[in-house]
Amino acid sequence: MKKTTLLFPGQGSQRPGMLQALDTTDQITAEIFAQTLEILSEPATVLDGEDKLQSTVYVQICLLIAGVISGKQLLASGVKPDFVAGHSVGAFSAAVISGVLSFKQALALVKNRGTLMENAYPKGYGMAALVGLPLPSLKKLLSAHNESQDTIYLANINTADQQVIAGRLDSIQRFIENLKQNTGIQKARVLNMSVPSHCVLLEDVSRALKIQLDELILGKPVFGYASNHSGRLLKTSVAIREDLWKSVACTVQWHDATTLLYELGTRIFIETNPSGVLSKMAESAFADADVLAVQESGAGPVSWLWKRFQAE
Amino acid sequence: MSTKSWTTKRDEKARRIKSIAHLTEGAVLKKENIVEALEHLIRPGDKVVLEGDNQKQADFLSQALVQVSAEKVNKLHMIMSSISRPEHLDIFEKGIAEKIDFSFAGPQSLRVSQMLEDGILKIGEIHTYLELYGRLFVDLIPNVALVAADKADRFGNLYTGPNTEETPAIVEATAFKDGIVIVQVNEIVDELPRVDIPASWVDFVVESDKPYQLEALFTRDPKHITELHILIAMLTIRGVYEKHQVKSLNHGIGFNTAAIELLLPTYAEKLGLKGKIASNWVLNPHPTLIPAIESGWVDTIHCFGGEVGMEQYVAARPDVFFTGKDGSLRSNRAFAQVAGQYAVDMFVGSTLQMDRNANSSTVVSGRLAGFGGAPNMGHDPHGRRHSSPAWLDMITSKDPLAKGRKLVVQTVETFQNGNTPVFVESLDAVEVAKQANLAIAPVMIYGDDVTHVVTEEGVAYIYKAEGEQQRRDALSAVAGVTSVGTQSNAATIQTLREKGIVAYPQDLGIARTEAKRSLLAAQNVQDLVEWSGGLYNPPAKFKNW
Repeated sequence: MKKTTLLFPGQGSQRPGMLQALDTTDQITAEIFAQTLEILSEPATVLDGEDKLQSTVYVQICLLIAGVISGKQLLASGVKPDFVAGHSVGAFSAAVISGVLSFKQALALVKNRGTLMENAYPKGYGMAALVGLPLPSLKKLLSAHNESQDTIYLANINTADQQVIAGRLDSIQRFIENLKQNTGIQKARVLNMSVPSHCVLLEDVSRALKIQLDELILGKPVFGYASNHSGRLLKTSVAIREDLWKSVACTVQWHDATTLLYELGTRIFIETNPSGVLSKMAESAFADADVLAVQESGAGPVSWLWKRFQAE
Repeated sequence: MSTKSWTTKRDEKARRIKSIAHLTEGAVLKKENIVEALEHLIRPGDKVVLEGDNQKQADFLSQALVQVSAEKVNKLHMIMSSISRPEHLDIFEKGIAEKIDFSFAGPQSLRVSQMLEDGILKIGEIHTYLELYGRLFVDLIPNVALVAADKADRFGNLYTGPNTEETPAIVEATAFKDGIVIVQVNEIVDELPRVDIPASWVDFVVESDKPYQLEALFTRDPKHITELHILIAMLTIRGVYEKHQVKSLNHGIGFNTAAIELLLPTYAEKLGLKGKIASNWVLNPHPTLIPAIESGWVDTIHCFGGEVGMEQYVAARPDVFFTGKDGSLRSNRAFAQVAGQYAVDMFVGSTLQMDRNANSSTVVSGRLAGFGGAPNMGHDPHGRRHSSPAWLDMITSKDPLAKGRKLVVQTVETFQNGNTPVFVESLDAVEVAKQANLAIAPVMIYGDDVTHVVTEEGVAYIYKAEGEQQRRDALSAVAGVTSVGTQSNAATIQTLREKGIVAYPQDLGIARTEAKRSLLAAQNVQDLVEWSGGLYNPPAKFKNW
């Protein structure tokens, strides 16, 4: 039997107007929007303007809202996943859909996570995305660079040759210059992201999240959850709790996590809203898997296709 | 006289078999009782062979094994040539098994390395196929074998047909040392097409709920062969096959070798090489070999296993293939490995990484993939006596006791996927060995066994090089703009070309512009079907017309 994984995107996938575009006559959307208003005292539809999305706080909140709505819609339309995997903040959506966190718990956590991250490094830090270098070469180049310059960290390992790095911006810029001159790198681009996420620089944020998470009573996961920080499959709320606070200060092992899900039998990946980034990675990494994106067609058609692919 | 019992294993086997008398009718076990039967037939700490190679899987039995109670069955020592399916590792997570000896784990390679790191499984050794089969008769003698066959009769005679593969080797090691042999079969019939394994080697047969899993692993769609592959194929045909008059050989499954197969009836035919090279083969029934067979190039082929869709074609060409009285292919992985290792003149393969000393590996960091058949075929068996022109042609000294060598040829593009260099300073395998605490680095083919390296730049005859430096220089000369390649210099290359240690296309009478797809005897899978006269029936995923 083909297994199915729901993918929840993280920062970088947001689009202005992503929540305003949702159909509020849909019961699930209306319910999540109502809970959002209750917790944030702001309607969901004012959170996704271009100006607000300059702040990582709103980006993360919008991704959580969109991910949870489309995940719940998929379940309601009959899709039966075996696993969930969320990239960075997407892990909170994954935890909600797996029944570990309630949406309200997740929203409070994500708001705090975003705020702490934003305040942690107001200036001079950032991240860059790299395409075209195999990981072992990048690791060697990074350790050489870090011997004499401000440390750059490996923030995300997304595919066999796509990574994100984090650290001081001037150091990152020098590193990229060097890459462009001395390697066959295809793309190296500084991201519009002022926070050096997923490295030790965010250990204080991680500790604060742990305290917040430790106070919560969590549910038992209904679906296996792929860990960001270890690339393992997690099956207990204790392990998922740990991943949710740890991962902000650890490398996101997305390549390992998704490869593991494939080895465990996933042959259908469905990326929730706002989709694109994670589906492309899955398509390039797993040629014989079917990859569906909610963004393009909505939960109904995705569910129809899912049933067809399952039967094949 | 000693009062010690010499029949403890035999007695234990009899006891276990008696304990499931209520579940069996002669040799036949009902499928709904399989989990209960396994709980009686397998004891804690047993060595269990679970059949699964890179093609055929005893999947009904593996799915049953994962359901046994870990209270009753635990601490198993698994022996598997391939870790291919999720439940192969689930049995470790559930505490049913704790140790494994294997050859290949490509489809589960990340999970194997994670579970090793997390202490969920222990690895005995990562073997080559022949070492694993050999150890079944030495110190990895199975208590229980779980294998797959196409058909059985109610006595337990087995028909394994085209996909006989390694079943006889596993069953022999188990049956003749008082182990228990349990076979899943697609169907139980009154009369078998032929008997591949006799009932007296088998204890139980069980009809599975669906046919065993079988992968079409050796089908390469000619559509994906590039002009770079074709250039490399031309260089290999002229610079290796023709030069050394290679008649017996094994091919890997890459696109470079698929291109060679499709150039035999066209390019090589024009060179007048028919009958002079590539007549006796050890390899699976590659669909891309159909045009060469149909054109009369191929005398014989012995197969490791079958290939999905090739059954009818093979059955219609018994002069070429090994077939039974029923007409269908008889494969045998163990014998084909021996033949491919010891009896052929040449192995031609490909790799993902090669270092400056021509050591090669397909291992990627953080993945324990193990090996396929390449390490057995891709080495020089030093004790060989069988002289052939190609083998003798490898002699480079005047010593009266000098012996020949097997040709071990690596054909690679200097970069894979356009940007990852194949030639590297150090193999990832070295790092992997450190991470996983392996006794030796998982090298696929050792550099000192390699005789030729062919890239799009040319051919390096490294068997001819004198000393390590010259060997490295020869490799650099064909390594393109990788960090290994850029260490070469024009004067050294010129000397190497003059000495015949390196040959560039022009030295072999090849113009790069000749390497066109129109040279391929088949452009796509549909062409292969046509060449076969409709006998080749490709799996749906290759039917794109």
